[in-house]
Amino acid sequence: MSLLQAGHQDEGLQPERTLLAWGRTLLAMLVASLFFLRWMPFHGRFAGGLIAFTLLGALLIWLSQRRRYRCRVEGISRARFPADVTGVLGLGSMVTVIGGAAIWITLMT
Amino acid sequence: MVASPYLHTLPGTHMARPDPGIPPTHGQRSARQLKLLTGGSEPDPRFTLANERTFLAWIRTALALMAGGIAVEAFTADVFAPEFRKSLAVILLLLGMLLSASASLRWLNVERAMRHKQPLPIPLLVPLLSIGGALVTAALIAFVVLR
Repeated sequence: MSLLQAGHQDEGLQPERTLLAWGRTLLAMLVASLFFLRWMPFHGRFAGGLIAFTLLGALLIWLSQRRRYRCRVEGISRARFPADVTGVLGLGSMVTVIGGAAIWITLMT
Repeated sequence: MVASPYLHTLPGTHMARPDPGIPPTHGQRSARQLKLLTGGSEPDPRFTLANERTFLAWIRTALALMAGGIAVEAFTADVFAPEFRKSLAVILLLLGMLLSASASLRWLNVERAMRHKQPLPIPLLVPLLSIGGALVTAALIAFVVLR
């Protein structure tokens, strides 16, 4: 029986809560990309690029959700979970770039 | 709940003790992690996950501020003068950007502090968000009063 099938022994449901937090963040990115749609008539391809970049972030989160859950279940079960440096800093950088690009578009176009 | 045959629950914690006989898969540290999170020992996974969720909550706050900035720029053309509208949008977007960058740094600093069993650093994000929010609110109040 695999670790995932066996489940984990954390009564605080840490992996599930963390997975849902990533899911909420994914939804927030989708909503932000929908807001950027409103810029399309005024800022054209710049807004289009920003929408594509934000949707890419949401897609990457969505595609890695299953693997993310498995990692966290294994981490809890083994009592050893190395921090997700790539996921966390990747998302942080992406959102910072989105903010910087949005400021640039607001000021320059 | 079905107990895994190779788990050994620590007394009073419901946490499993790492079994050296199991080959690590996701438990191995990546090269990037070795570079950024050096020294100390791996903290309790529950604390690492709590730190991750706090980071995600800050990121969602940053995204909400950015969405607010976009909304101000896109939907309030008939309400605000162009300069005021642009300034308000830039302040909100800048706040969102600073918040996401600071959240990443804070996540890293908290992770390092936990690895070395040190006290957690004081959050700079809270005063940043409070001051930024107060500035935007003050600008809106001034607009409504002076209109």
